[in-house]
Amino acid sequence: MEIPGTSEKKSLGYSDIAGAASDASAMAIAALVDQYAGTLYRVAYSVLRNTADAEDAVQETYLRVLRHRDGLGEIRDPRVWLVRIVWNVVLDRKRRAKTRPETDDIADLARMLPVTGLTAEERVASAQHHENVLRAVAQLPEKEQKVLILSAFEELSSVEIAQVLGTTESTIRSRLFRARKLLSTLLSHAQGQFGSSR
Amino acid sequence: MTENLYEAKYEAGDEAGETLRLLAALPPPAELTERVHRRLAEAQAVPERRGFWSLWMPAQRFQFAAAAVLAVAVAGSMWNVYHGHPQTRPGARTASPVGSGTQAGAPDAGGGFDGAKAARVPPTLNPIKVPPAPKKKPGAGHAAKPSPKTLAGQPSGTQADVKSATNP
Repeated sequence: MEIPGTSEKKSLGYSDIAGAASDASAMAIAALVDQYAGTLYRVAYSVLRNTADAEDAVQETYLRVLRHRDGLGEIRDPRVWLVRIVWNVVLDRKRRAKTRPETDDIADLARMLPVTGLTAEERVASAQHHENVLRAVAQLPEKEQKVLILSAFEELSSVEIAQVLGTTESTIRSRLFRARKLLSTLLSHAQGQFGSSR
Repeated sequence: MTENLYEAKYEAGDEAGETLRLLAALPPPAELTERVHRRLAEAQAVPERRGFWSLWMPAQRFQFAAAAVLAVAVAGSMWNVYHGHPQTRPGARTASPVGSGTQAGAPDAGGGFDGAKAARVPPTLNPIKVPPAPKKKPGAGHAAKPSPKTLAGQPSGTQADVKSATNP
């Protein structure tokens, strides 16, 4: 594995503290942080929708990696492995914070999504659209919802999503198809309601 | 046809997929990696907490074995305490309580307890007199018993006569 920025990690006290035996694994973890922290953060954020929680989830993921640093050499695809860990961490956290109302979060999140080259009115309409979409996604069954969220990441193929969720690629494809079908139904229903209320 | 339908559905859902892609592409906060590095360095700086077992015996297999041996030893000793303790006999002397009023050197017959001068006489000291059993004569044991056939023909009450005839 290529280890970028190792000297910088030494200055942070990474491998100075660790013994000579774990020096290599500490460097490998540092490289994993540099390479995949952003991806892991985005995966965490797409589920938790909270900056601080997502960052905590990323840190917890790397702490778990640190605890199992002896087995790092056996990992074939560290990216999928890390996404899988952060996914489990995130689901654990979400399960614990289930009572928190999400209504306001969705509206806030829809406003946060980037819009470029739009007028003020179009921005409001775009935010409304994003909000509708996110509410529709929240109404999907859990399995379909998970697949849909992970499929939005360009870094992850359907095979990798299958590895993260611990299922087969064909299952992922069928779930994705079902999710999109359900989502379009929900959105058309929501648009119909929006139109009739006008 | 099926593919077209799939594509149509895909596009309908893809409109929503755009929102999810935007969500997935939100940039991480600045200095995220630095904070993660710092956290990991802190985690490594704190020495791993080692329990009593790991200090005494590093290999987990030996820890389990030692724990099992200790458990067996404790169970055995407990069994010994409860079942192997000598039972106190009724006449055994026990220590008298401190300050019970008995003088030093005096015989402690009651084991520190007073029976209020009550004297219990066990029945074995006044045995019940049982009359001695009649002695059998040496020839009497060989006398032939009357067969039930011979007795059956006689009226009841004659059995005593037969016995008296055989036993003068």
